[in-house]
Amino acid sequence: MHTNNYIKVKNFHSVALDKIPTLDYESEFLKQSNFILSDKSRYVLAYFGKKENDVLRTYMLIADDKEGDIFLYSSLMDLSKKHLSISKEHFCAEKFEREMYENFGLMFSDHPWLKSVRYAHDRTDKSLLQTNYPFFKSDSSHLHEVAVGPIHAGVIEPGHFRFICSGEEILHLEIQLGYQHRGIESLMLENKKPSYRLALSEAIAGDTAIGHSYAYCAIMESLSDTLCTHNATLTRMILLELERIANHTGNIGNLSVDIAYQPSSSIMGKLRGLMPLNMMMIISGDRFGKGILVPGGMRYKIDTAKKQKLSAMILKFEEEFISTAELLMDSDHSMNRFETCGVVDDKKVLDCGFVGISAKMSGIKRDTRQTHPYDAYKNIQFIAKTAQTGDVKARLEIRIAEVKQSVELVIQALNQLELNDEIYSNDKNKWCNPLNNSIKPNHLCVSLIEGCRGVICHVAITDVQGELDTYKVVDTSFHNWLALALACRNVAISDFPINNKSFDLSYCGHDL
Amino acid sequence: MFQTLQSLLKNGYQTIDDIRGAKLPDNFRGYPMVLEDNNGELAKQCMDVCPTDAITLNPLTINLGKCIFCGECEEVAPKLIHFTNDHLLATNTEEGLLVRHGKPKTGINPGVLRKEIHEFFGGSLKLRQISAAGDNSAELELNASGNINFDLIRYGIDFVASPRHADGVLITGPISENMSYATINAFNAVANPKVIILCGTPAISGGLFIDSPAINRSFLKDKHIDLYIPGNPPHPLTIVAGLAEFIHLKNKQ
Repeated sequence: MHTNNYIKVKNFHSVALDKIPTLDYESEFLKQSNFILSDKSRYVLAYFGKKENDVLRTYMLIADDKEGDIFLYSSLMDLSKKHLSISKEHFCAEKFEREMYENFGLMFSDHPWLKSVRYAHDRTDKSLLQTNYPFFKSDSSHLHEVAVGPIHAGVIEPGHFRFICSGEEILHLEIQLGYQHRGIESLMLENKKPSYRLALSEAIAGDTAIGHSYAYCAIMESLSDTLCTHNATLTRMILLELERIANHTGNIGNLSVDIAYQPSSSIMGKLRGLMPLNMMMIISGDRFGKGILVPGGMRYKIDTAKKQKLSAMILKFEEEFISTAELLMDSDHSMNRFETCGVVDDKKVLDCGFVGISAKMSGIKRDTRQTHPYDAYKNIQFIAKTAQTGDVKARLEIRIAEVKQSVELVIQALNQLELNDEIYSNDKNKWCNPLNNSIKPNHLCVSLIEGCRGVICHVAITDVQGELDTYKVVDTSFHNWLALALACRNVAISDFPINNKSFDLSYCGHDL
Repeated sequence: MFQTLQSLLKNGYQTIDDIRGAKLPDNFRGYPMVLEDNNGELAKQCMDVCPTDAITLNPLTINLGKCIFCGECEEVAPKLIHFTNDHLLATNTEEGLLVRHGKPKTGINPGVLRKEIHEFFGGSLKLRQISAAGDNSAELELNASGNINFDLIRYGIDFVASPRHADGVLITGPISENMSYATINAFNAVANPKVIILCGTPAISGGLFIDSPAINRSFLKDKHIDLYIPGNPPHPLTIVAGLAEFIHLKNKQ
């Protein structure tokens, strides 16, 4: 038996809080969640809490990829009691429940393992320390542990990897994060200056500055019923795709470094800067696109001269990228490293709720540009690229295919810009509508943006004065770090670097 | 094999020879200029809009250690503040981070450089980079600094895996509480003489995170900082030019 006590919202929509049904946890919320998630094509986008006096108000957002909308419902949970978990039946909810345990002390009697998520500065149990992480252990004398991090050999974000190995083979990998935790979600609420909040959204994960600032701007626009201009939405698509191209190109170069394949490692490294990053600089003044998105539109415009330069650059990039990617894919010794290495099958993807490339690699089309399209993506019939083998090679194949696809999107979008249109703003430099002053009070707004790794989800809740009351950020990597841990099982430890690079997850996006 | 050679030949020589003279696009937000020492209403608006309180008045000053180069102030008052495309931002004094009308850019002051830096590291500087809660953009630019265009290693400067092999640390990020222990550990593992370089706004001042309870910058309290590389993140040209100048300048005093 199941209940239908939820509402469905679309991407970028705001809804009044009193329209969101509140369910009794044991008798309705739990049963409904288990029922909704029994369709494995659905996955948890965000499941989080906010303190309301002595109880925890929780909100559940589940993606319905088939219908292109989002299940939304709520509960009130007694913080002094133990509750049955959703994760017992549906593992994709596990980390969200664990996060609420860390942040609020919400107890579950049957959660698989309530270990720390990120050692947040405002965690309930401050006696739990980074240095005391309860790694899974084995007493067998045939096995040994390898510990790597937080500081790694190269110039890369910090995280700790604990391997349990039998000789060269990894039997178990456990990943401990939290080193990059800066307190993003509470800073977003405490500092109310709009310029600060915008800059903070760009800083959640600098390599997806466009992805996160787009999600933030979409929320502010939705909450104030501000429409973006045609040119602004096209430029946002251009920047989001350039960000994707830049990240994928750099990633392919890094994979090549790890297998010592010099041609693609040096050329991809150069290409990343020369074209996508420099194109972002031409549009925004910054290689990462920081400083251009603003609620209401864009700070700077693209004029005819810029458009011509950008069009020439993207074509030149396309030619050289394709030929270099072919070099890599034709290289037998490279494919020998990548094929069948680090497999995560589709069943695990669905069970664990992996998203983006970590799902597409095993044939599962999780891409919000296709499933929950927004702005300029609504006008195109976007079909996500997938691979079938779920290994390092699959993740590489998808990246190559997505770069080619993104190049086409950029070319199309550049051609659709209305460059002689003056009607939007008095200010010659901006392609921006002024933000309507009133933010809707007592509303919840959700935005999903397809970053280079997968779905980025922001959820904002306003109070009775229209002030931000809660701001939840779920970066792609929050879902996907477990995929790397699973991929490394029964892999030679010397193949760990290519697996890590093939997932290319964000540490700071996870840690917030 | 043939295609590989073809591709390499086609690429040819890719290194930017003149790191200091290279020109970035006009809209690149590099060294800002304060066009007049105005402390009136417009200046106050610049101060108010700045996300990181990098602007102070009397006199109108921009602190590059706090500035995140977002351009909000220039948008408010383009006649007061203008970001040039000058990418040479590195400096080794706190005073060098302050931009005022009529004050020439300080850059790296050789008179303040510790003599050991050029003596020991003039031909070879190996750094242990510590990623301490940055947003990964500075890390990406540091990696780009080693690519075939920017080629940091031609100056004898490189990043090493172990602090035991290093001549100093280069820190990115504001230093989270959760990274403070590892940062101290890594620094202590470097043999003397050693340098400390802060790369990027979050490292220099904490940036957007200056008031965050999740940050712990106590490590820096009693330390002498040898070099600041402003930027959010610093462009690879800024990084390479700054590091190269840092080891080549001689303190003649």
